[in-house]
Amino acid sequence: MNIVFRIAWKNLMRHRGKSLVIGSILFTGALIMTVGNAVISGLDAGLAQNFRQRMTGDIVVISTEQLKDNVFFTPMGEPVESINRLGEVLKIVTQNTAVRHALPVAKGMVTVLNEDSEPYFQMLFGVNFDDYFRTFPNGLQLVEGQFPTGTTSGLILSTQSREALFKFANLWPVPVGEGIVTRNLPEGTPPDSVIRRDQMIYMGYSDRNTSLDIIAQVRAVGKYAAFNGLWGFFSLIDIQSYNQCMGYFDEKEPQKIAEKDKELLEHPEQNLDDMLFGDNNDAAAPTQPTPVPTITPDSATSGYNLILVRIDPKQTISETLITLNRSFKAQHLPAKAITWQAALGQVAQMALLMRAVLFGFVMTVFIVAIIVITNTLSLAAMERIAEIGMMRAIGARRRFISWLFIMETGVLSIVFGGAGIIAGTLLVTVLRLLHIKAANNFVELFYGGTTFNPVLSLPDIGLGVLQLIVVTTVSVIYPILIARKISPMDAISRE
Amino acid sequence: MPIIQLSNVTKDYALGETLVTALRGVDFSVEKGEFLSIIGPSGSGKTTLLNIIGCIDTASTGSVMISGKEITKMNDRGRTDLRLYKIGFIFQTFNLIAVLDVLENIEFPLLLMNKLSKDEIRKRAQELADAVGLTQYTHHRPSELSGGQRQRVAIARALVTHPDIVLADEPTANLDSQTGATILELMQHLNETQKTTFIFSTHDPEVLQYARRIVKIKDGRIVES
Ligand SMILES: Nc1ncnc2c1ncn2[C@@H]1O[C@H](COP(=O)(O)OP(=O)(O)OP(=O)(O)O)[C@@H](O)[C@H]1O
Ligand SMILES: [Mg+2]
Repeated sequence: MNIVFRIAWKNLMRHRGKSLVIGSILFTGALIMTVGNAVISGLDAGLAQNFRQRMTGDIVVISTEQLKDNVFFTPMGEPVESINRLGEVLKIVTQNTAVRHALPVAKGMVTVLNEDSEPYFQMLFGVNFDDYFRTFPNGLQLVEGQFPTGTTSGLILSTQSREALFKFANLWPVPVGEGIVTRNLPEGTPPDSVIRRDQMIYMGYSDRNTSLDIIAQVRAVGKYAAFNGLWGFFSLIDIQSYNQCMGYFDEKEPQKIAEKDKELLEHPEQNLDDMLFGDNNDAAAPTQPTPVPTITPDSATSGYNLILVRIDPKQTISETLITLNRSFKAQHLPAKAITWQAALGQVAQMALLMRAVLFGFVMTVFIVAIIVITNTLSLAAMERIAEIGMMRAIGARRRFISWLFIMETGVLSIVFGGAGIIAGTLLVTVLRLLHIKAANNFVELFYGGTTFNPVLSLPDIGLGVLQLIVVTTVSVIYPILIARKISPMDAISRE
Repeated sequence: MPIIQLSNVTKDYALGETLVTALRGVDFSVEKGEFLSIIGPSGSGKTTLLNIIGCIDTASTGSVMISGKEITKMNDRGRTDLRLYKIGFIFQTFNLIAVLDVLENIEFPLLLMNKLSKDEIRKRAQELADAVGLTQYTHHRPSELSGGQRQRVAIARALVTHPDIVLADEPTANLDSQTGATILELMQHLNETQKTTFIFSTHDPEVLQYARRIVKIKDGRIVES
């Protein structure tokens, strides 16, 4: 095959112009595809890191009575159904070998009561703080105050919620006992122009009309590590205060307390034992034991309506979903597990749309490259009819002609496409180093986080190489078919 | 057994709506080692006949046997290999590989065969380059050669494989009589020493002196053999 390569190489050199045309298409295509792949990967990684590891978890368990999966950003703050028989549901979740963390969350809307203004609505996550920070250790960044631990009651207000309160009623909540940090105020706001608050008065907003007004002390102001503009709608409150606020202690509504939960109320330690040392648990011990969320007797009948589940990164969401839902069904529990994307509803769809748009862009480049190269090579085949026909007349087999085209295109592909992939990799590295910040929530979704962080892992580069091979192979097929059809007679009829 | 045997060969070319008949039933055979010339007026079918014998074109009807094998029934691959191993073809219009130099062009069929060592191939190509008088041009590209020089490269390329049959379509048309004579003598030498069968078409009366048999063709029929 030495002679094929020799002729191929000399042809490339002789027709430098044409080689350069195909070469630059291969270069540009490979470059764009490499960068595109990196952006898609960065988007995926960003979403995984920011949403799954910091906010929603991988899986969300909700009540079967909850009709819409879209549980975080419900329209008009529509309440999410509570999970009944929470203790049993949690037991199944924590016993699943794929599960690393399970965080029960009570999500709901409260009214901020303020004597000087209209009532204002705010979204809260009622949680056990220890469980929260164990599940999402990097979710929140402290801005002011101290993150509460253990049974400390109170509020972690998000910066976003604070700014909203400021805009609405000139309120500036700060952690208990602390003053106003001027640099955290919106620009140009004199500290004495705002109303300092270190506690909030909340009125539970529930359709059952059984809520109480509570006072929640601000313990900390926090900023979400990513998507603060989006996730910052939610502030965190200890679950006891939340339950009080929402009226979950109301003895007048005993039907809310399911039979099984009553048992848990009576023998809490036994149930916790069950969770820790239950029969399935030791069968396949996870590398890292699943910490059992702290659910107090009262919380078992609380407004908990979500369980945010983080799984072992080696496990897949889809498989874990299946096993969880199968277990829920088997025990007739009124719970179902859904993906984080489903729980995020339109927000996740936006991100998926961005991904699809990006992917579509890469595919377009891909197809355009194929069309242009096919076209150029087909023309080259037709210009070389006399020479190819002569080679065939002398005794070159069709395979020889095919190899000639494969070699010529292959060399261009390796040299220019390879250079494109390398250039793309360098460009991605530069883009990463630039730490481009997202200008708004929308762009943040596109970046998958606060900064533009395209990721080029080895598999991504592998994908780029694969795309290059596919482009080259597909582009060369049609020209080869043309060239193989050239007969010795074609050589003679010319000239 | 004749090395070439044609029976009732016809050839039609479709030219738009009409059929052009180039051969109208050709019967003739050639024994191994013959030195034969086909003559006839322009358009009589000489090139067509050579193309069919050379497995470059296919007969419309009739039978063509080469070394006892029916080539009209062969597939493309079989005919390609026959062209490479058994036949040396010198075309009326000669094409060389533009990117290869003279020596490489002569080597080309041997490289395709891939049977001899590199040195052996080089040696044979060099010998033929010398024989056709291109010693000083071995590293020239075809574009740097005159028409006659290019034709000589094509002749050397046809002879380099030591084929059983050499078909030459007007081999001396572009050569001066001196060079033409040299080449014909080379062919005659190969014919005598290696029993190579030579068939060529020509108008050139000088060429006819070398031929030991002359076949006359007219309007696609053999009129005198
Ligand atoms: N590819 C073709 N398509 C159509 N007609 C053809 C083709 N090749 C040859 N012919 C016709 O077939 C006939 C024989 O042509 P051929 O080339 O064999 O003649 P020739 O004897 O070689 O002539 P010359 O001495 O001019 O080379 C001619 O009438 C020619 O027009
Ligand atoms: Mg002719």
